[in-house]
Amino acid sequence: MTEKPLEPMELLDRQAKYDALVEHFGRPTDPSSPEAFALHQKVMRILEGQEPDPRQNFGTAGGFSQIP
Amino acid sequence: MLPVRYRTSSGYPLISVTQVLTVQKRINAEWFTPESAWRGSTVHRLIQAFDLNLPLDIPAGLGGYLDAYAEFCAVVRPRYAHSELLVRSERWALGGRIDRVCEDLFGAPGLLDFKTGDQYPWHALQLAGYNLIRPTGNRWGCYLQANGKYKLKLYDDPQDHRKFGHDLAQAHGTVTAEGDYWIQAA
Repeated sequence: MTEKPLEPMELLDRQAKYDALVEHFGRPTDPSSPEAFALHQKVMRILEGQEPDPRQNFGTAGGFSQIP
Repeated sequence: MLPVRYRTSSGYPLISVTQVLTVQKRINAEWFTPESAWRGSTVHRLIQAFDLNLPLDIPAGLGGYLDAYAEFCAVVRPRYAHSELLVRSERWALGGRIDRVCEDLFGAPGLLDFKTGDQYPWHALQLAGYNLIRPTGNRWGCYLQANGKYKLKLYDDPQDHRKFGHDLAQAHGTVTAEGDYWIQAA
């Protein structure tokens, strides 16, 4: 029994989601800086659902949803 | 008994980086099972085939590891200088095989080693050993997981090189090559 690898479109989709988050936070000017690696780790945690996506926190407590 | 895996062009035996760590008891052989050894070597073959865009025949249970590698390549976009690079040093009487030598990984040259198991402290020393033979720069471990995810670890403690140098000197004082095997002093 063998398994199928990810389709190229799936990989491109993951790449696009990753890049969008990196751009959201601001791509570090020095890719070799500790900040660049720290940002990579943070973005991966968001993509894996371990941290909330900061672009999707509208309507949370204290936000517009609390306005009567 | 450990086999002699590497020799100089004139046939002089070279101890391997991982054998140094085994002799010095940094690596516990009990961690390795035939299944984990098969998984490690098969995944290494698969990711190299992936790099070369060759057809992939993925055994059951290993698809996640390859997905993790594919995602790593897609988002990190490393630039490789060498894959599965055999390195030998007559000066240090030391040999090894480096998974990837990177021209650019997070903006700088570095050595990259892939694992399909847990993180252990000896991984830092293994990469320090490779850096001794092939001075390159940063040392990275990439831990591929069955669930399709990966974890990157930057090993940046400069003391690792000193520790490996100590282990190498001790190991050379402990083993001698006889035929195709290293014999350890009692």
